[in-house]
Amino acid sequence: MQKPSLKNHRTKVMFILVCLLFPLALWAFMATGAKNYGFISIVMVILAMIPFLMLYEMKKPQAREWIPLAVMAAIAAVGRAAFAFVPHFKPTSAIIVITAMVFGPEAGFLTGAIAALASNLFFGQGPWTPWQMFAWGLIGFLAGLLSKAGLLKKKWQLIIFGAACGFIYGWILNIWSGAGFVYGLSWQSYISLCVTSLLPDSIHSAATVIFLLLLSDSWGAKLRRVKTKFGILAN
Amino acid sequence: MASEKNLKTESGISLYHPWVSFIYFAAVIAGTLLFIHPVFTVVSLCCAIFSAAMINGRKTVMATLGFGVPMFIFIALANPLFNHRGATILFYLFDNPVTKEALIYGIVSAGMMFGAVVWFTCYNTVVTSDKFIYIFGRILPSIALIVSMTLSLIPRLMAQVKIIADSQRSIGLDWKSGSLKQRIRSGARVLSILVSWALEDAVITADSMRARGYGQHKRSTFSIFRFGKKDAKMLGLVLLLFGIEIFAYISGRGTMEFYPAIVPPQIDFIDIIIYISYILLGILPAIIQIKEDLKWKQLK
Repeated sequence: MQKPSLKNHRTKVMFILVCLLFPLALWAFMATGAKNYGFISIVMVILAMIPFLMLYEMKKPQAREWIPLAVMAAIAAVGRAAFAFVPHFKPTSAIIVITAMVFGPEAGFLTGAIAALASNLFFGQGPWTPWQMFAWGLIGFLAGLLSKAGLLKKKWQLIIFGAACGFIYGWILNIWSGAGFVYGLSWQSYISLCVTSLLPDSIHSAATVIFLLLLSDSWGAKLRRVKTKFGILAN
Repeated sequence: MASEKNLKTESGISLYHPWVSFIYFAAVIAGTLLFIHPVFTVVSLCCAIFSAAMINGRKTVMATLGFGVPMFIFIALANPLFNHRGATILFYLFDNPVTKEALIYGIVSAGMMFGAVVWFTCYNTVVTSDKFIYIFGRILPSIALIVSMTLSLIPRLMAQVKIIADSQRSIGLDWKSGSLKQRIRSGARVLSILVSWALEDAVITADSMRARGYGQHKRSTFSIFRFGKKDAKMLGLVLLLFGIEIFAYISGRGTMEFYPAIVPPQIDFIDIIIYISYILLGILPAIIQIKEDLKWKQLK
C-alpha cells in the first residue's frame, strides 16, 4: 500500500481517456460529416495505445506482474481460435472480464487489447485491429471498474454485464464498418447497421454469459490463488 | 510462425532494415485509408495485388482474392442500401431510393478496404513478428515483450490444449461429441485445465527470467539488423513519397465530392505529379524485386 494515490490517479486519467475522449472524438467525427475515415482510424490507434504507454512504460513492472496477463490474453486468443467453428460464439470477452475482475480495470484493458492484437497476428491484421483492441480493452476496463465498485458480485449482475459485452463490442465495431464504407455515417445508418448485427451480437452476448457462468467461479478462484501465492499486482 | 515462412522468401523489400519496411507499409496503408478518390483507390488496389503476387506468391494471392472479392461486393452493395443520399436515383428498393452516387461511393470505399486488406497481407509477410518486436522493443520495451510473450504462448497453449483434450477424451469427456451443451461444457473444462497449467507455468517463467537478469539491461533482440547506406537511401525515397502523399491529403487533392452529385476532379499538373509519385510508392516492392532478379540473372 505504498502508492495508492498514484494508482487512483492513473485509473482516473484512464477513465477520462476511455470514457470521455473516445465519445468526444466520435462526436467530432460525426459533427464534421463523418467523411474522414482515416482520421477516426488514427484516433482509434492512439486511443488503443495510450493506456499501454501510461501503465506499463511508466512504472516498469516486474515480469511476474504482467505475465499472468499475457497468459490470459493468450488463452483468450486461443479460445477465439478454438471456438471459431461456431460463428460469433467466442469465450474471449468472458475471459477478459474474469481477468479484469481479479486484476483490476487497467490490467483488464491491457489484457483485452493484447488479446485482440495477438489473436489477429494469427487471424490476420487489418484496419479493424485497433477497433477490436479498443473494444475488448474497454470491456476489460469496465469489468474492472464495476468489480471494484462491488457491482459484479451477484450472478444476475454478471449476467447483465456479460450480455452487454456482446453489444458493446459489436456496436464499437459497427462504427468501424460504418465509417469504413458508408459515406457520411449518420445516426440512421448506424442504427440500421446495429439492427443488422443484432443476431451476431446476441450470439456473442449469449456466449459471454454462458462462459461467465461456467468459468467465473473456478477461474476467478484460480487467478486469485495465483495472485495471492505469488503476490502479483498487489499494490 | 511467420519467420519460418520468411526464411524461404527473404528477398526484395524483406531484406531492408525493419524500420524501412515498417514505414513503407505505414505509408501505403495510410494512403489507402486516407484517400477516398477513385484514382488513388484504383492505383492502391492494383499495386497491392501486384505487390502481393510478388511478395506472397500467386497461390496466396488467389486465397486473398477468394476472401477479398466477396467482401468487396458486400461493401460495394452495402453503401447504396444503407445510404440514400445523392442526386441521381437509379431505382427504388422497398421504397428507398438507390442512388448512383451512393453506389459509386460504395465501390470506391470497397476498393479502399480491399486494398488495405491486401496491403496487410504483404505487411504480415514482410514485417515478421521478430521485426515487429525489434522495432517496438526499442521504443516500447515492456509492450513489445508482453506482445512477444503472448505470441510465443499461443502455439504452446494450442499444443497443451491438444494434450489436455486427448486425455479428457480417454476418460470419456470428448468435446467433439455429444449435444451442444455437453460439448460447450467439455470445451470449457479443457480451457479451465489449461488455465491452471498456464498460470503456474507463466509465473515460473517470470521467476526464471528474473533469475537470468531480465530488466537489468537494455533488451537485445533475436535478429540483428544493420541500418546501412542502402537502407538510408530507400528510407529517404519512402519518406519523400510519403511527404508528397501528406501534402496531397492536406491540400485536399486526395478526396472527391460524391454528394449530392459527383464532381469529376479537375486534374492539373500537380495532380499528375502526385499520381505518379503514388504509383511509384505502390510499385516500389515490385521494382526492388525485379531489380534484384535482373541482377541475379546477370551475375549468373
